[in-house]
Amino acid sequence: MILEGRSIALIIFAASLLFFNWPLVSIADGGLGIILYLFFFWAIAIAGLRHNCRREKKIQENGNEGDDR
Amino acid sequence: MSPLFIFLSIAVYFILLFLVAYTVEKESPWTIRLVRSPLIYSLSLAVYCTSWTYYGSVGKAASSGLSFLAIYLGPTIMICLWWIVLRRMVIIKDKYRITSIADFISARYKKSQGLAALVTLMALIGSMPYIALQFEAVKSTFILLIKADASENTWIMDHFGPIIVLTMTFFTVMFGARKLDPTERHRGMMTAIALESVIKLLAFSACGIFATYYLFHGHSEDVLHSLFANPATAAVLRIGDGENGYITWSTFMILGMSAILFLPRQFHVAVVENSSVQNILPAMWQFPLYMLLINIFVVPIALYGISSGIPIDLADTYVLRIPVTHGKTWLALFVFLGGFSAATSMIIIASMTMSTMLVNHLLLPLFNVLRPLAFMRRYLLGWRWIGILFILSVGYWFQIELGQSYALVNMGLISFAAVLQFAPAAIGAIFWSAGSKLGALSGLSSGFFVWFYTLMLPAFLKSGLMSSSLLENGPWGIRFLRPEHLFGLDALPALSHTVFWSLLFNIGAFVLISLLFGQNEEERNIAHDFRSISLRKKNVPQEHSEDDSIDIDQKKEALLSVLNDYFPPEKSMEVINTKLIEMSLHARKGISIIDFSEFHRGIEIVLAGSIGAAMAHRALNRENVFAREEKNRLSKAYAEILSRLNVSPQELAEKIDFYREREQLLTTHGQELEQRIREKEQEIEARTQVEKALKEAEYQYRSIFNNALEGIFQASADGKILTANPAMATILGYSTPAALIKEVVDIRTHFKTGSARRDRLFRRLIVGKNVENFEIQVVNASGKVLWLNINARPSLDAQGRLKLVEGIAEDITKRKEAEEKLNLYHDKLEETVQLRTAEVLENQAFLQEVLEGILAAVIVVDQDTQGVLDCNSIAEKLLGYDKATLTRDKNALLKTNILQKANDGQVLDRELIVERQNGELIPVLRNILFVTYKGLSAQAIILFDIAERKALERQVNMSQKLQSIGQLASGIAHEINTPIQYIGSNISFLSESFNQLFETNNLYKALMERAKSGEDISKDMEEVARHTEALDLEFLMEEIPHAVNESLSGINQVSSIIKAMKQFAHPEQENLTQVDINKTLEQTVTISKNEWKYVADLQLDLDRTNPEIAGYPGPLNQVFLILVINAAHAIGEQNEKSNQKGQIIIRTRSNASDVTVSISDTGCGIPETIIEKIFDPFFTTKAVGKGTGQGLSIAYSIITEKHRGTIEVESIVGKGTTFTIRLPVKP
Repeated sequence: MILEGRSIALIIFAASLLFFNWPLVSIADGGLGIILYLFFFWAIAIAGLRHNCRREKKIQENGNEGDDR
Repeated sequence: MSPLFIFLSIAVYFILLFLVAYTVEKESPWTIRLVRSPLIYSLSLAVYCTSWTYYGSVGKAASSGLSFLAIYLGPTIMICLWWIVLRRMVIIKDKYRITSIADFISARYKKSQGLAALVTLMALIGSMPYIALQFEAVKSTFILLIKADASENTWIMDHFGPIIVLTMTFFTVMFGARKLDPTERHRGMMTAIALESVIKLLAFSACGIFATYYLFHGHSEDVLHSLFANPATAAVLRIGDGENGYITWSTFMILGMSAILFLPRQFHVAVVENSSVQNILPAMWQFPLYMLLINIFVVPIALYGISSGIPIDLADTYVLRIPVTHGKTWLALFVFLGGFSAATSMIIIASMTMSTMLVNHLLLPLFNVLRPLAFMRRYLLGWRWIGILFILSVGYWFQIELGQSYALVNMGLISFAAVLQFAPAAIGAIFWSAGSKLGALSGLSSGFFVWFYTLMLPAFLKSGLMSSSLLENGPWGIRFLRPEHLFGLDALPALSHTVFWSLLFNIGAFVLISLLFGQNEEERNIAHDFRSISLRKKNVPQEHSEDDSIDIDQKKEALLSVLNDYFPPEKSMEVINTKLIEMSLHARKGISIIDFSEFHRGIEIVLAGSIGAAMAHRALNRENVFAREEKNRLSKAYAEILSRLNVSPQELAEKIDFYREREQLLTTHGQELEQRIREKEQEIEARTQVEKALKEAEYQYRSIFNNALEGIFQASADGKILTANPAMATILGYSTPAALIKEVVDIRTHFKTGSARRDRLFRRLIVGKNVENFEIQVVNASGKVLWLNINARPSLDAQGRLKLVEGIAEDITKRKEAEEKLNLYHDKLEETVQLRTAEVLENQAFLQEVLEGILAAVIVVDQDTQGVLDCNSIAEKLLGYDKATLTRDKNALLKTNILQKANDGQVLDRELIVERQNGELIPVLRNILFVTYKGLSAQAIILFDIAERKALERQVNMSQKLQSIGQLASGIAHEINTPIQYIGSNISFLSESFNQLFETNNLYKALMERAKSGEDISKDMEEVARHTEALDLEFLMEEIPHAVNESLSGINQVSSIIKAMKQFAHPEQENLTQVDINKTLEQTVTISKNEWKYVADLQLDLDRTNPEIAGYPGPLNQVFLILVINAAHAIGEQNEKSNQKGQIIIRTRSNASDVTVSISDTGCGIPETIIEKIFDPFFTTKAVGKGTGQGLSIAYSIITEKHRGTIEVESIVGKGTTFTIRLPVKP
C-alpha cells in the first residue's frame, strides 16, 4: 500500500515537472493567464499531496502494513 | 516612526520569542505534544523563506517577472519525493546521529573528515554573504521605517547592528547551543521559528491585502487594461523574454529543488530537528501550502508598487514602502516585524548549524593535529558559542563592507548554486551504492571550484573589489576560460551557465572517479547500509554469545579515555553505562567479540551526535580500542556465522533485510498494540477511578440524605410516598421512613384542606412546573398543624402526565410563629413610629414657627466649609440677601461679618456690627450654637437686631449722664463760685488800687506841667507827697502781683472744671479711641470734687506708666464718676455714724495687656445679701428720688460689653468697698 502512496507522490512529481516547465508554461505566458495557470496547478499538486498524506495516515492507523517493500 | 519605539517593539518581539522557546523547553505534556506536531515541523521548514523571499521576491517580480516563483515551485516538486528521500535521510540521521549536511555526506563516504571539512568550508563561504544579506535587509528596512525621525536616537541607529548581532547570539546560544545534546534537537528554538513563520506570513499577507485593495480600488477592468498597457507592469506578468527566460526559470527550479534540502539550515530543520518520520507526510502538503500562500500577494504588491510610481530600483522595499507611503504606521511596523522574523529565523538557524559544522569538522580536526591544543576538545560547548558569535560577526562585517553591492543582492541565488554542489554526493549517498569517497571528494571539489570561478568570482569582480578585465579577457588573456563564458559557452545566462558547468563537472567527476577507483570493504558496507537503511530497525534485540573473552572493564577504560577528550568524566561514564544497560551487558565481566563490536559501534554513534560521524569514527580508531588480534577474531566470527548459514554475504544481507523488515513491521505493530493496551489500561484505570469516585459520591449523598435536617421525599402522582428520609418521617409525625411509606396512602391528605395555596401547589406540579420555596400548612400524624417550606420537581411521563414528584420539605413552623410575633411587633412598631413621626412633624412645624416668629435671624453654617446650609426669612430680611444667594455665594456671608473669627475665642455671644447687602451697618447680638444639621457638624448663628435697644441704651445713658450732671451741677457751681468770689475781690482791690495810682499819676503830670511852665510847684509837691503817703505804695506793690496770681489760679481752676465738664458731657463717640485712664480719672475727680470733699479725702495713686487703652472716653468718665459719687455717698452715710471724714483711694496699675483701676472707700459697705444684685438694672439702696438704680448697671454694661473688661466688687459692711475694674489694652 505504501508503494501506492509512493507512486502517487512520484506521479505528482512527474506531473509537476511537466506542468511547471517549458513548453507548457509558455502557452499561457504573458498575462493573467500564467498567474492562474501556475497557482492552479500548484494548488492541485498540494491537494494531491494532502490526499496522499491522509491516505497514508489512514492506512497506518488501520495497521494495514501489507506493502511489498 | 521613532527609532526608540521600533527598537522597543523589536525588544518586545524578542522577549515573546524567548518566552515561547523557554515555555516549550520546560517539557510539559502539552508542549511536548505541540513540538511533536507536524504543523510545528512544517512551519519551521518555512525558515526557507528568508528576508530575500520576503522583500526580494517582490523586487524580483518587479524586475524579472514571474521567474521568482520557480524558487518556490522547485521545492514543491522536490517535496513530492520527500517520502522517499527525506524519510531515508531522517532514518540515517537517527541511526548515525547525524548533526549536519557535512556530517551526512562524510558519514556515507567512509566517514571522511576531509570531505566533511570541504562541505563545511563550502557551506561557510556560500552562507556568509547570505547572512550578510539578512542583516542588510533588517538594517535598510529599519532605516526606511525611521526615515522621518532619523535625527532622533542616533545612538540606537549607530549601534543597531551590534545590538541585533549580540541579541541573536544570545538567543541562539540559549536555545540552540545551551548544552551538548547528542540528538542536536532544539524544541524551544523550533517552536520560536515556527511562530516567526506565522508572523511573516501574516505580515506579508496584510501588506498584500492592503496593496490589492488599493490596486483594484475602482473598476477592475480599467485597472487590468492599464496594467497591460504599462510595459513595466506587463513585464511582471511574464516568466521571461525569450528562451533565456525559460532557461532561467528552469535554473531557478533546479536551485530551489536542491536548496530545500541541502541548504545547511534546511537540512538541519528538515532532517536533524525531525522528531518523527511521521511528520514528513503532513509537511509534504503543509509546507508547499505555506509557500503558495506567501507568494499569492507578491505580484499584486509588485504591480501596485510600479503603478503607484515607486521606482523599480526600490522594488526590494515595496513591501514596507507601500504602508509607509500611505502613512499606515502600525501596518508598516507589522510588516517590518514580519521581515525581521524572516531574517532572524534564517540567521539563528544558519549560525547554529554552521557553528556545529565549523567546530566539528574544522576546529576539532585542527585540535587533533596540533597536539598542544588537544585539551581544547573538552571545551566543545564554549567553542560552539564562539562559533555562533564568529559567524554572526563575520556576516555583519560582510554587510558593512559590501552593503548594497552587486555581490550581496545576488547572494541568495549564488548561495543556492553553492549548495547545489552537495546534491550529487548527498543523493548518491542514499541511492547509488557505487559512489565512493574519492568520487564525492572530486565531484564536490570540482563543482565548488567551477561555482566559485564562474559565479562567485564574477560577483566580486562586478562589485569592484577586483579588476574586471578577467571577466572580459579570461585568465592570462585566454578568452576560452572567461568565467562567465567558460569554454566559449555564450548561450546561457550567468547563473544557468554556472549550474550547467558546475553540475557537469561535479556529477562527472563523482561518477567517473567512483567507477574508476571503486570502493574498499568499509565503504561498501556503509554504502549498503545507507542504501537499505529504511528497511532496517534501529534496536534489534541482542542475543549475547556465551563467549566472554573480552574484558569489559579494560575496554571501558579505553573508551573512557576517548570520551574524556570531549566530555566531562562523569558524562563519559554515564554514556558508557547507559549503553551497557541498553545492551544488557552491565552485569557481565567478559563479553564476546561480537557484543563488543556492537558496543563499540553504539559508543561511536553517541559520540557522533556531539562531534560528527567522521570525527567520532576517527577518535575511536585513533585510540586503537580494537586490537589487531580482536579485529581478526571479529572477522572470523562473522565468517563462521556465514559458513553456518551456508549463504553468500549478499544473500545473507538480503535475508537479514527481509527478516529485519518483517521484524520491524511486527515490532511496530506490537508497539501499536502495546500502546493500545496501555490506552485500554489507562481507560480501565480511569473507569475504576470514576467508579470509586461514584461510590464515594453515593456514600456522601446517602449520608446527606439520611442526616439531612430537611425532609427529602419522592411521591407518586397519586400521592403515595415512594421514598423518604428520616427527617421527612419526623416532620410528618412518623417514627421511621418505612412507617411513613407504609401508612401514608396519599400525602395530599396531609395538606390542610380548604387552602387556596394547596390548590395552587397541586396545579403547578400537575402541569410540570417546579415549585420553589412554597410555604404551606400540613397536618401531621398527631393532628398538629405545621408550616412546611417545599421545593419540589415534578417528573412527567411521555404523555405529559405527572409521574413523580421529588422534593425537599423543611419544617418552618417555628419560623412562621416567630414571623407572626415579629409581625405583631412590627405593627406595634409601625404605630409607634407613626406617632413619633407625627410628633416630630409637629415639633418641626413648631420649630419652624418659632424660627420664623422669634424675630431673630437664624443661619445654619457648615462648620467645615463655612457654607450656609439653611436660614430663616428673618435672616434674609436682616442681612438683605435671599436664601438662595446665601447658600450659593459663600462670599456674601463673609461680607456680612457674622461668622465666628479666630480671635473671637470661646465667646459665642457677642454684639457685632453687621453689614447688610446695601452696605448699611446695623448692630446685632450674635449667639452661636453648635448643632448637627442633616448629619453635618454645623453652627446655628442666631442674630438679634439690637438697633432699637442700642438707641434706647443711648437714651438711658444720656439721661443718666444728665442726671449725674444735674446732681453735680450745684457742687460744680459751688466749686466754680469759690474761685470766682476771690477773683472778684482781687479784681475790686486791683480796681481801687489802680484808681489811686491813676490819681497819683495825674498829680505827677500836673506837677510836671507847672514845673515846665516855671510856676511855683512847692504846693503841688506837698500835695503829691501827701497823696503818695496816703496811697501806701509799698503795700500796693506787694499785694497787686499776689492778687493777680491768685486770680489767675482761680481762673485755671474754673477752666479745668469746665474742661472736665465738657469732656464728661461730650456726646458718646461711635469708634474706639486711645484713652489715657489716669487723665480720665483726674477729670472725674475734678468734677466730682464737691461731692466728696466734705466727707472724705481723696488720694490718687496713679501708675504713670499706664499704656493708653482702646476705649470710649465718655462712657469711662461716666463709670468712674458713678463709682466716685457712690463712694462719696457711702462715706457720707458712714460719717453720719462716726462723724469722721472718710477716705477715697483711686489706684491704677498696669501690665502689657491690662490696666486695672481700683476705687476704694471707707464707706458703709454693701451687705452680702444684696451684693450680687448691685449691677442689676433699677436696683438701688438709696432713698426714693436719690437714685434710679441705673448707675452700676450702666457701669457694668460699659465695662463688660463695650470694653470687654471686668468689674468686681469687694465689700465689708461698715469698713468700706473696693471696685476693681480691669480694662484690656485692646478689647
